[in-house]
Amino acid sequence: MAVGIFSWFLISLAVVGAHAATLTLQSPRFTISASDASQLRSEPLSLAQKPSTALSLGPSDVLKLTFQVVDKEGGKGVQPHQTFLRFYDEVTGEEGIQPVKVTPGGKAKFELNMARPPTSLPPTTTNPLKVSLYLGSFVHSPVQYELFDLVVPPSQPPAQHTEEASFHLRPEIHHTFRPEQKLPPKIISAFFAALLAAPWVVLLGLWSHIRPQVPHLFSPAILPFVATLAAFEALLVWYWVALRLGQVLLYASILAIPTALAGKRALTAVGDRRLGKSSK
Amino acid sequence: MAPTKTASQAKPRTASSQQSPVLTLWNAYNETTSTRLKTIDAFLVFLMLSGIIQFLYCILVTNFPFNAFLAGFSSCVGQFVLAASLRSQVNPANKNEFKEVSPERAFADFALGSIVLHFFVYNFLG
Amino acid sequence: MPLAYSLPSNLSPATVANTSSLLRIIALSLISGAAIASRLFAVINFESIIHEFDPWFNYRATKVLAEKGFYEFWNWFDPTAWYPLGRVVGGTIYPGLMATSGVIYNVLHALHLPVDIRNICVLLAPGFSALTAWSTYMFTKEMKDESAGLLAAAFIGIAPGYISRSVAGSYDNEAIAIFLLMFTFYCWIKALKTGSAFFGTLTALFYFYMVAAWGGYAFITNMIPLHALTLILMGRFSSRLYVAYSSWYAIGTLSSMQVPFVGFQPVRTSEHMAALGVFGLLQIVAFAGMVRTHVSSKQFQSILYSSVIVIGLVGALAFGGLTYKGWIAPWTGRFYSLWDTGYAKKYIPIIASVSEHQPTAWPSFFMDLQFLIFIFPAGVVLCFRELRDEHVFVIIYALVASYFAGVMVRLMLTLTPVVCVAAAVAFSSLLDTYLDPVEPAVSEAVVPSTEADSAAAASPASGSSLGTDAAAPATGKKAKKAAATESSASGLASGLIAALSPSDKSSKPRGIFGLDTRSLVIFNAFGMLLFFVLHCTYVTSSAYSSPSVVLASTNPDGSQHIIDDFREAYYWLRQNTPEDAVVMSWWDYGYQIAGMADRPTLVDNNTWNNTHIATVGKAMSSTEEVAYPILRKHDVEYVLVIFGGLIGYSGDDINKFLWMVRIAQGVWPDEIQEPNYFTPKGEYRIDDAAPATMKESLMYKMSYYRFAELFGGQQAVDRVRGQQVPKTGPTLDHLDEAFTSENWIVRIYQVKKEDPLGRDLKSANAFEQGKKRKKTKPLARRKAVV
Repeated sequence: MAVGIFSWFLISLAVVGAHAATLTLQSPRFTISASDASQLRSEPLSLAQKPSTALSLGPSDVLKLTFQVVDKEGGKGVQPHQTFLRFYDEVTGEEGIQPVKVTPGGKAKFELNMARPPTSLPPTTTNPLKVSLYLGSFVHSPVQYELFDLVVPPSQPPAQHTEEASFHLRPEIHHTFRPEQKLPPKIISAFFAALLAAPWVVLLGLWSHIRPQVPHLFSPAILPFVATLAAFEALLVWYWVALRLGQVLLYASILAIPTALAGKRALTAVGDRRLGKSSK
Repeated sequence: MAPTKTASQAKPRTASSQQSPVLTLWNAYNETTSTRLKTIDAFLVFLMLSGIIQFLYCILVTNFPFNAFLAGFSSCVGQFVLAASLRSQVNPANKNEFKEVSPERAFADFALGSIVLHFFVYNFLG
Repeated sequence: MPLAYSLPSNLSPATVANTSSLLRIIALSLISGAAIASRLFAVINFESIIHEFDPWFNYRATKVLAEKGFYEFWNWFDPTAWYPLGRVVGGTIYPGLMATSGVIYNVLHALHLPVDIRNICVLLAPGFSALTAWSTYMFTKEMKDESAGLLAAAFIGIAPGYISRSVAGSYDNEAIAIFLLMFTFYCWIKALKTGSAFFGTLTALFYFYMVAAWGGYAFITNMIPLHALTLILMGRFSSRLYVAYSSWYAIGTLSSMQVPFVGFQPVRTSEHMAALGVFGLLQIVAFAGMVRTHVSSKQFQSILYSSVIVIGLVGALAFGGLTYKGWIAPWTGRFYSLWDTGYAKKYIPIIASVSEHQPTAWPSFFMDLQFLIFIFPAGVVLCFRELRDEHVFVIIYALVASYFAGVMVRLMLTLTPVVCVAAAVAFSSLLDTYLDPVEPAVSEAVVPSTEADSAAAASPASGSSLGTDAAAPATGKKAKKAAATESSASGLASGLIAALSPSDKSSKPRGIFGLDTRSLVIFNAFGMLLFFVLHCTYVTSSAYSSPSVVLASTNPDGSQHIIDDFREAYYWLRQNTPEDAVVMSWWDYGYQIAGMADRPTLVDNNTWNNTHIATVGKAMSSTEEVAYPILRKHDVEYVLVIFGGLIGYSGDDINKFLWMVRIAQGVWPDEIQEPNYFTPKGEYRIDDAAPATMKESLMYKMSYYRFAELFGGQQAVDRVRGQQVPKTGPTLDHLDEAFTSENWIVRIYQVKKEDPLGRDLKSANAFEQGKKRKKTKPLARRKAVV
């Protein structure tokens, strides 16, 4: 592949260099012979038109191609410094470039032995290969001739290139997320929420049965303590609703001081009352 | 919490074979326990029931806002053990064990513990 | 009562009490000062710099916290770590340490003290070590008395086992965790003693702080239940235990779940189930106790039997079922490696590769604890003598921590406090015994009653043992001398034996007579203390104060030479590379690169993604051709290796190389095989005899690239391995040497981009060097059908 690109590059250079003189081929001709040297087909080639039927080679047949490169004006033999045959499979896009040796007199001979095919022959299928000739010269303008179509026995399909995958779009990645957890139906939740009222009934029922006595709840010593405790709970509810952590810690530390003081006073009062009341 | 539940379940099962222990237990309890302790006991029963209902909800229906369930459930458990601690501290029978903890001190501890517990509960509620 | 030496008698008890408390305060503050000061060697010998690896991340996180505030920090997603994955920092760290320094920083700034955040971070560990000394004092005070507490505080203040993780600059979680550990235990003991929910709540709060600060909180999570369970099994259940444990567990567990990194683990993983189980058990026992007060014992027993069986069955079934269903996560790998020391090496090389996780070598016990380690068993034995609830705690703690310290080097840290406490108990018992002026009354059969008076009268006057002896009658003298030689000969051991067997039946008086024995033993004891101090100072200054970012060596003339290659290289990266240039290195240096060079890294010390680390390991241990696509796919622009071969720095990447191979092998067992990196004889070599896989590996090439040139034709020698390096060094085709620090410790390579002409880099490189390409026939693409 790299060789192909390279030669294209040089040819395009040559286009820039040359102007007037052009090259042509004299008496191009191909011969197909079997392995036992018996001739199967031999025809001259026309540069304007390809042969009507494609050339076909068996697994051990030999294709011979001969021509002479000449100057179109003078008819003199020319040795172009670049002469390539290109085998190109239009369907698969496979191609192979084969340099052809040209004598100083412009004569060239190319042999394609299918028993030992050259490395330039690309992997093939049953499709015909387009064979074309490229000539490049320092003093002539470059030319390209479509010579003929060639059918050779199919080979194994070409090996996958190691980085083939990275030249194609990758399949889109679909992320699978954990399914969103569902809330249960409202009714069930509401039922359980109502069920949670039941312990309250039990609690109030038991308390009303026991009738606990809090005789001094509203005495001036105890009320502030109860109030600050309630304030603490309110602060925490507020935290849940709106406040941020830093704020609640600040408020709580401020509130802690009066709570501690009130608590000390209240509990001392209770303790005194208990001890004063006599040991139960 | 849950083990306590099984404990109270195990009790009636044995009671079927011998009726008397549970009855004597109940009678003895009614006679010897002061009103103050009974108040706390009622509170404990309340907390236990709330906890059980929440646990059932988690098992039977969904545990989806798991943090909310944990917050609710552990507020019950936490409050339960704090109240139980308060109960054992103010229980006159335990006076020897808690020499340094007067009933008032116990209540202050209870209040502090509850506030800290509630802070974390609200923080966890989401 | 005879006295060995006189005591002033004209002091009121109040004066004595006041003076002793004043002395205690002075002693404690001096101990704190000593604890802080001995940790400042690192700052004095080097500079105020963050040490090692993890602290660099903590420091970086703290900077974010200080600059952007708490909520930003909480939600911090760090795209530069674990490139290209990124890391959710807020949810994957224990934020206690950063929060602590953040609070200190804000408080100081509110007081208009513009202290640099770095200095706070550097000095946090020494500051907390003073608090640790204080909390150890409080803890030991509960065990024995104030004097033992002071001794324990002094021990923990300078014990190298703790200093090793808390020198100035060692800004790691352990810096505050040991204080929290000791204070939580103190609160627990206090709660258990008084049965107060207040201390239970305090225990829970400090437990919460501990959970927020250190992954080792699981130690508390299991120690306290173990203690409670042992007490129950010893038949020591009391309402105090119930109050203390329940209030701790209920609040502590809820609060520990507030830390995002811990999450629901306390109700989901097996490590926390012991605490839950003991909690349930306590409820049952307490309930049973309540029932018992109300019914007769026979009825109670019948209730008890059936309920115990039912509960046991239900509990075991529930635990097994939940584990089976996956509700309770099974034990983690780190946990298994605590029981089977070979486990990690077999299954989780990444855990085993950390030097902290290796089993402890025996000498390091002595190095870290010196004479405390052999006084420690005596202290534990003394705990058996009284065996109150808190002594049971110390005994359990000692057993568990000793085992763990033997398994993992880093758990030496949890052993140190209990060693200090137990040693202090033992030592202060010794001092108590030998400083106590009271002499045993000699029985009447030997000494007449007047003799005691005369001895008592004589000793204040003379004040020396000679005088006492002279004043005593001949018969008494002989008996005393015999007793004195006996006790002084066997010294400490006999003192302990005497203390342990007070109920000796013989009528002979036991105890210490005279001043000579006393002074001998006490002189000996103080000698041990003195050597302990010398040892601690020496070890701290020489072994534990190196920041490992800056190295020190001595010049031939004895002066200190600072090797600062790491910072040199990191600042080179910071100054000379684009800000988004990804740097690949082994994970040890991830935090340092992020902290000092501020560049994205592939892997770092938060080893959460084993595959990612293995990818880096694979890139380092395979050939250039294999590694290059990996590097390119991860957008790596620079590769950093640590090489100590030139100056003999042994902690370099070639020495860590086998771990990279092992970790990579764990993920790609077909491509990387550890035996390939050894010679056929099984040696690990880097010289000519090194195996081809080794020589071809990227790590080897990067380490020794152009190394031989440095020796100018002479034989190049690797000073760490002590081997000769091949004269023709390795060549690099896919990387360019970008920077090599002064002493070659840090070498940075730039990853080449693809060749613009589409050649592979190897042939492009060969072309650049003017080498003729070897003529090869192009391969035929066509393959004939067979």
